[in-house]
Amino acid sequence: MAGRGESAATAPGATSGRRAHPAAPWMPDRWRTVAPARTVLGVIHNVTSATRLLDLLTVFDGDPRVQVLFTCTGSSPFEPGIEEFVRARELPLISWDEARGHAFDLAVSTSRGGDLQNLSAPIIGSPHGAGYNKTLHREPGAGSREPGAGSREPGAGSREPGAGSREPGAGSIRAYR
Amino acid sequence: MHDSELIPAAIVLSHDEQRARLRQGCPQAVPLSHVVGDPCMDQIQASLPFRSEYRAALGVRPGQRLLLLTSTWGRRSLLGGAADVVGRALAELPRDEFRVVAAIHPNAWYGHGGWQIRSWLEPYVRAGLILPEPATDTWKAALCAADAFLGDHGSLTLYAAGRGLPGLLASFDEESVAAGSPMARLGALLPRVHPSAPLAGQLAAALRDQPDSPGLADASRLVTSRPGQALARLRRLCYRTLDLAEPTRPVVPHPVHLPPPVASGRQSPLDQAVFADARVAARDPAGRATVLLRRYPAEPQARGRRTHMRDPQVVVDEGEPDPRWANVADVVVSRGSRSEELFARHAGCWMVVEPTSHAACRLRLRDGAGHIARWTTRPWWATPAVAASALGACLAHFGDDWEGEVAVHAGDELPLGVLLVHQSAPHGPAAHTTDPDVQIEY
Repeated sequence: MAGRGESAATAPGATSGRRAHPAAPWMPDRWRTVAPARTVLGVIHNVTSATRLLDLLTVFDGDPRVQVLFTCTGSSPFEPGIEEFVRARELPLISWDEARGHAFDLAVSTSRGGDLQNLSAPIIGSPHGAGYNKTLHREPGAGSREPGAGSREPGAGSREPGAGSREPGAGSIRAYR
Repeated sequence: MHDSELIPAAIVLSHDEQRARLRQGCPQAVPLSHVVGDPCMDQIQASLPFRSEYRAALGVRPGQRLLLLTSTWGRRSLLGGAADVVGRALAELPRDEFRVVAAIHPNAWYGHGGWQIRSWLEPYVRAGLILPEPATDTWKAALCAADAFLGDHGSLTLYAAGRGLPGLLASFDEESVAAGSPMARLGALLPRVHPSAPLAGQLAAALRDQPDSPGLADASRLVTSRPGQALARLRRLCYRTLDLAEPTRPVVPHPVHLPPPVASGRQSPLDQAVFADARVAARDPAGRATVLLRRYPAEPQARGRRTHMRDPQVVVDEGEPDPRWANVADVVVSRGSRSEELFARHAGCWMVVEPTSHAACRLRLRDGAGHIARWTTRPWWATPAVAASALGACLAHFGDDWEGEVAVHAGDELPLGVLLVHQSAPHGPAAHTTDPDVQIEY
């Protein structure tokens, strides 16, 4: 299990001023009721991508070998609504710092926003809308490149994998709903 | 890619054509790409057999049509750049015949705040708009339940086309849509909402023409090239990445959950003011008088855009707070006040309706003449207010002493209503204690 024992010496609760989720792979085993063999990280960007993420993660329904944890990249300007979304669905949430500081067996992301390159996990990237239909309008000095954004979200500071001309299908393949 | 280093271990695609575009734009990524299909399209297809359940949960009544308005986010979205179409849909489509539901992109919803979106759309919600929260799956249920859509360049337009729903584009941001993409194809194929032609006619044309369009049929197949397989293929990919044996149980798309029941009736105790457009048509084969009736919510009607109505009468409930309708009401439905009081309060009113049971009502004219009307065939839409509008058309056509049976058509697909009318003595005793017919509850 990639996640366990590879912690970057992050003390539980040291980030974001709160205790890490007890199901996090680096937390003590005795806190677990079920002992999953793998930990999957669901990467939430905003409510749009989160709804699709939950659709995809139904592939793990019924499998106690897999624990899913969620994190928010904090990179979308459309964050309002995420907190309610997470709370209403009781998603086991860890902070982005915690997510970056540990290894996971798999990360699933339905958006290319955020510092995904900082994650230590094989990432499966999926569109959150019907395929890829939007053009990429690059502007010099750009911050975040929201997949699917017509002319990019104004959110700054985040980079998207595939930014620039090597974006999958750059100039023609963009994800959005 | 990030700084020349490919970040993802796998890139999931929904259609083979995307791989061709990926090969052009980013050949290095092609080996990482997996065409799995589209789990959302699969779920919508798996939900379609339950269309009638979704319609019922959304409050769509027998014979009604459901129009889905879909908006992505941004200034060029339906909501951002063509929001007048929301008002037009509610103003121009007869309210007994149509329900309208809006599926708003979460970035638009949460970007302004759900409260704000509801506040902005409140006049339309009062006029009957169904406005579900976008974080739920209600939009998928609505997509299954709908008869037609008005959309933009958002994904829901593709899903609508993918499930064979006829529709029109209210806005379309050509600039942000990639040339050669399925969305660009749809943009070239779908008609645009005409700014002045009646919307009902435009929808009827779409419903008539689009099911046979080979171009749209082709475009609808661009949503997924692995129909029904997305979750199974995605699971295989995930478990391979996890180095874990895949469960033996099959993974199949399940139907979308039923939306939380939206009250099919109104939330306000007040029945919204309507413009009722009624006219007497040729007698039916049974020799009955026939009335064609279309009712439109008053609130969204715009001045100078009333060609969808011929000669409407304003019908209000007693207690209507909006002076625009209260002051010009032709017909007032009593909530207990005597007709004399209501005639005094509403100067333009010529008919007061006093409901006496679910199926019957007493109708008073300003000159004191009275009629008793009873629905002998009472479909869900047949209320005392509708009886008043039908009777008004009959009296205008046949004269104030008319009585008899009238077949009422409130919409092409709506069940027929039959109303039995006879004159009652002017200023007779209260309806509650008179004619035993009137007391019949249905």
